[in-house]
Amino acid sequence: MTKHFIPVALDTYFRGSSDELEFCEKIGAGGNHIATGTAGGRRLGQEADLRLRERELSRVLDEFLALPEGERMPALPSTEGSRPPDRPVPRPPPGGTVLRGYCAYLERDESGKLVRAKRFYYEENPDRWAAETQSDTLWLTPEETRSLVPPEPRVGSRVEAPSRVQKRLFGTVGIDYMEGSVNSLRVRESSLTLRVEAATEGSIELRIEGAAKLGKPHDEASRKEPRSRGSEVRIIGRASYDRAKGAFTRFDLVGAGKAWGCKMDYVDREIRIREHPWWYGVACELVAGSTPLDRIPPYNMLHYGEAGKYFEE
Amino acid sequence: MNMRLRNAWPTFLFTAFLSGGISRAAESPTSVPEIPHADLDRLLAAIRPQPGESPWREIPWLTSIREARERAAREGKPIVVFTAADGSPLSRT
Repeated sequence: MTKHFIPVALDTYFRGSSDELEFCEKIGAGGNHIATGTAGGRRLGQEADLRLRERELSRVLDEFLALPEGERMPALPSTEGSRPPDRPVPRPPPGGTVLRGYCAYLERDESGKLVRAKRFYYEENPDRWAAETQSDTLWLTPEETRSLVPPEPRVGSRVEAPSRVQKRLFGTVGIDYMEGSVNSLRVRESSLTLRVEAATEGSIELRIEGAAKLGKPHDEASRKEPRSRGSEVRIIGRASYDRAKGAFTRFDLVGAGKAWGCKMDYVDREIRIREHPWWYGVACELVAGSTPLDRIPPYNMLHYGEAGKYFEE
Repeated sequence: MNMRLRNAWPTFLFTAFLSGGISRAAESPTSVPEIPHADLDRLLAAIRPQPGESPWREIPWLTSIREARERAAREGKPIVVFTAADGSPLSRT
């Protein structure tokens, strides 16, 4: 892809300043869509139903290569006087923690062990496609980061994570978000404990255990009703904390949960699961990089659900 | 409870624990049994994206149109813009 194209990924609501928005409008970039164009703003592949596949993109490349050099490598106009973005993209709290979350379906194998389950969109359809692992991010402020380490870190000492951290972690990346556009769920009950397993002058090793009840209580009769989603989840994990930097250098979490309720609240496409409740798994890892992909805001920071505002107390 | 049966319980529970990580013992329709810490790495690998599952994750996407235009003009390449109307297309999809 990068050999022939410059790839950009955008949330339609955060396309940038007025010159960027104007460019997007010229090439038809917006909505749930793939669009292609020259740096100067000439739309390419207009007639094609574009996908991220060689078949479609090779035609776009042919169209581009047939253009004169002045259009392929244009002098760009100044952006001075451009209006700043109406909605700037949120940035992670400086000095805080960024975790990347994952979500997948689980099932028990013949021995009873929980393993990954392969599920499909429109399972009975010959054109069905497999549901991919979903990902999201979790942001913590520097203060919230420090709150996860016992103030006197001796082996065996422990700390209960503040309720706002539990609410955010369990309510946003502790739920089944396999349909993607899934709002956060209210935390009905939760616990999240970090216990010191080893401590030196330089670092602290922590063991993590937690559990939560989320959303609506299970009710078999209301499984097709709107806003009936709920789940129970348990998590375990480990973390390493650099005392000099005041930052985590490792933060691994995995969770197994059972979810229930109407899966079609937010989307039209269905990943059909016969069992009710069904098993799902979540995981989190520390994001240490600073690539654009590492800075993508948490979904529920922008799309408030039952859990309320993202950094709310 | 019969003493012989009562003494058998620890053996049964231990066997259930060994047989499959998260035990089915006393599992209600909604409750989730404890997860043994020994299962952490196995479950992490099972839940993370699987090799080859999502090739789009391996593309070094930019998230700025200005930066993309500058690079496209400099390198003589067309721009591909991947948009989603409800969050970043690189996050929940």
